[in-house]
Amino acid sequence: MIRAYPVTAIRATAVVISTIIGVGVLSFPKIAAEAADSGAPLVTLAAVGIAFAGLVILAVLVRRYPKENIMQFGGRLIGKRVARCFNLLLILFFATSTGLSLREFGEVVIEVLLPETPIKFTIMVLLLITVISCRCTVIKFSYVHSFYLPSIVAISFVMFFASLKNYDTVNLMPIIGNHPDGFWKGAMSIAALFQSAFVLCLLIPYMRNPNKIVASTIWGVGISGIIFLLIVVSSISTFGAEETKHLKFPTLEAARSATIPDGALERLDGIFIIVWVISVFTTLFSTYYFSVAASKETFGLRDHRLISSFLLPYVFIVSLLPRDVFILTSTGVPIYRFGLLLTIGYPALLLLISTFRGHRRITDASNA
Amino acid sequence: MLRTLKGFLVFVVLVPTMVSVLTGCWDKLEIEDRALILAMAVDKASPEEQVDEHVTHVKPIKSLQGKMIRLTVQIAVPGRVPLGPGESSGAGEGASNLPVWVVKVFGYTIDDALNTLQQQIADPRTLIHLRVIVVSEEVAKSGLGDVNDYFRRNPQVRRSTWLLISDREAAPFMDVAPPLERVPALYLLAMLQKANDMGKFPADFVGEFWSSESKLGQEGYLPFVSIRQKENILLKGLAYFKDSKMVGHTNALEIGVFMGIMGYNPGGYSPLVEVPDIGVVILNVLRRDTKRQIKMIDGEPHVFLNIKMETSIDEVLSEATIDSESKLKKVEEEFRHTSYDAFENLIRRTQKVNSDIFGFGELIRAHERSYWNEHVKSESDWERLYGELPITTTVKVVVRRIGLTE
Repeated sequence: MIRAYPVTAIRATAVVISTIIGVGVLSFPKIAAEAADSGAPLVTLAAVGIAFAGLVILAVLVRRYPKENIMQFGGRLIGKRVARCFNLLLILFFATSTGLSLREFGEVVIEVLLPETPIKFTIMVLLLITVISCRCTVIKFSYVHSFYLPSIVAISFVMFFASLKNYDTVNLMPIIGNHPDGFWKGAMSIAALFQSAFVLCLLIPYMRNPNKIVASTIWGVGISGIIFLLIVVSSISTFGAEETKHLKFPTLEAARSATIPDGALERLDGIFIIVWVISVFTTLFSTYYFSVAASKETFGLRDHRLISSFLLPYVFIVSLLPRDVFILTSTGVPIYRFGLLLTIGYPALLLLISTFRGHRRITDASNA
Repeated sequence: MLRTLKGFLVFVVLVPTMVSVLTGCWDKLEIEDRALILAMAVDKASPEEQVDEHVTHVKPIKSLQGKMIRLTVQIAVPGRVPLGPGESSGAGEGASNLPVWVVKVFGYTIDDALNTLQQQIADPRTLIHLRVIVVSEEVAKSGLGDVNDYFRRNPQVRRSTWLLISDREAAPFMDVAPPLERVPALYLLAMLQKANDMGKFPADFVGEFWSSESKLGQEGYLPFVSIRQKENILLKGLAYFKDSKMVGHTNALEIGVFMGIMGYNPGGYSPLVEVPDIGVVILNVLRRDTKRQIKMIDGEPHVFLNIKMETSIDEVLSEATIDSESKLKKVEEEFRHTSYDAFENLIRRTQKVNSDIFGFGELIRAHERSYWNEHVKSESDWERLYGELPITTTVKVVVRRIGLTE
């Protein structure tokens, strides 16, 4: 295994953050507001909690097998056949989720940026870039993420502070929401946006210090959780929960209303959209990369580059299948919920078996 | 990548594809080729004007008969809009050299009218630079539902657009061309923005109006304007709404009264008070500090408004001079009374039409969750409750400055 440029803990954190922040940031305040009106920030917090639990389980699991990825040790733990089934499900889920995210991306672009450009081309371009990027190694993969991360984090904070003057704290009260009927449903839907960070299980064999994977995950989910909270707070306190429910992309509208005082920057939404496109790319990059790398392991191939091109038609077709946005959400939501079960349930199952079999952290044993 | 044949083929296919699609030329539109709509006025069409051009429908629509609107739009003429301060607005004088072109169209809805407009002008219309929409009182009273929907749905329209209600026909606003600004729509815009900076009007963009309209415990309000001497725009007051229908308006000073109740700063109005034994005094409100509290008394919400105003003396119109602390106290006391009356009066008037433009309902929703959940299920519930909401106002006035003379 090449250890020339190993993945450092900071770079692993970067992968987690830029993977989590993706296409969903534009619309998730609406989901949160629908779940519990003014309690939307609390819904988001709960979602971060769920995602946090799931990803920490995964991180603890992969730390036990620092020289392998989940496809390799999974087979040893629960048997080749069962593991293969799970791997196929994971591949299918991440490939499908790439397709659905692409479509959502296309819908936003066609609605607010390029109304004349056929959606097929918008989707195809981003997909092509992703496919080409996915031909690289895991180490380069982590570099790409770290390269784009600063802009993603920076714009989120700038947007939050730039829209501060529009804030009305009355909109955030009561904190638990007036009618939090759909609280957990909403929290699940938002937690599903975090699951693409599952890709972190590919990093561990390349990490300089594999023990730090748990710390990286905690930092990664923590920082992206804060960004999600900032976004939901800025949307809800700018527009109020009721208006947020009416808006298709509340985050984009909040960015549109944000101005840096004294007219230094009248329209922040231009920069915001650019960074958003980047963040969509990094998310697709991760989910697609996972499907590709997992396929390589599952089918016992030596090179993943071929699969990268091979998966393209499937993802492209999935992205074009939904007839309209309503079908996109109505099919997307159950798929993402199922994914949540898979990306949290499978590692949890493996962790349980691993503990049952008395596997400890191998590095601990070797250190001792 | 180029070393192998495969790599070469990929290169040959990929690079031209990327170059042709990534540039986004599909949506290319030269700036000269767009009809940039800067401002828009919405009126009811008079009976003789109701000519259906059948741009969006083949057969007449029954439910819309007799409900035509007249849309007057101000389109920027490319090349004539002055860009810098030194540039003269086009060459020469005369109406043909105006930087804008005013067009009138008719239709049943905003979109119908805009489609009719497109049928008449060459360049594709764009609303990305739409800054001001003026709607006549008549249209506002029958409901802004259509206006709200169209502008909300259209991604080109910004939430920072101003929506104004005029007390008369709205179309003349498109022709108002005061000498201070070369582009008429920009004058209207500058006027509202400066009024906002001076504390003459709250930052009540159309986005704010929409947000308030969506809230269960708040109603929207909009600037109410008029025209004086053909070229002047008068900021006449606030138009207040219920269920997106205009139900009343205030006068100009009551904008200040409203801002006092909301606690908006800076204070920009100069109320005139007649003080016994002293005479007429004009004060200038510098700052307002308002505390809005909800207390539950016997299970019912009660609003306590605590308004503190810092003022200075602008003008004294009498033989008497204000030369002592006691006289200043008298002025403060008198202004306290008149402003108290003004606050109460505005609140009562909005209560009479059940239009809670102050958002007291939102305060109750935020702080008295159980009461709200039990009593308010829909917007109309709060409208009804607002009519009987007990509100107690306390006013405190301090005169901070008296100017350079006694």
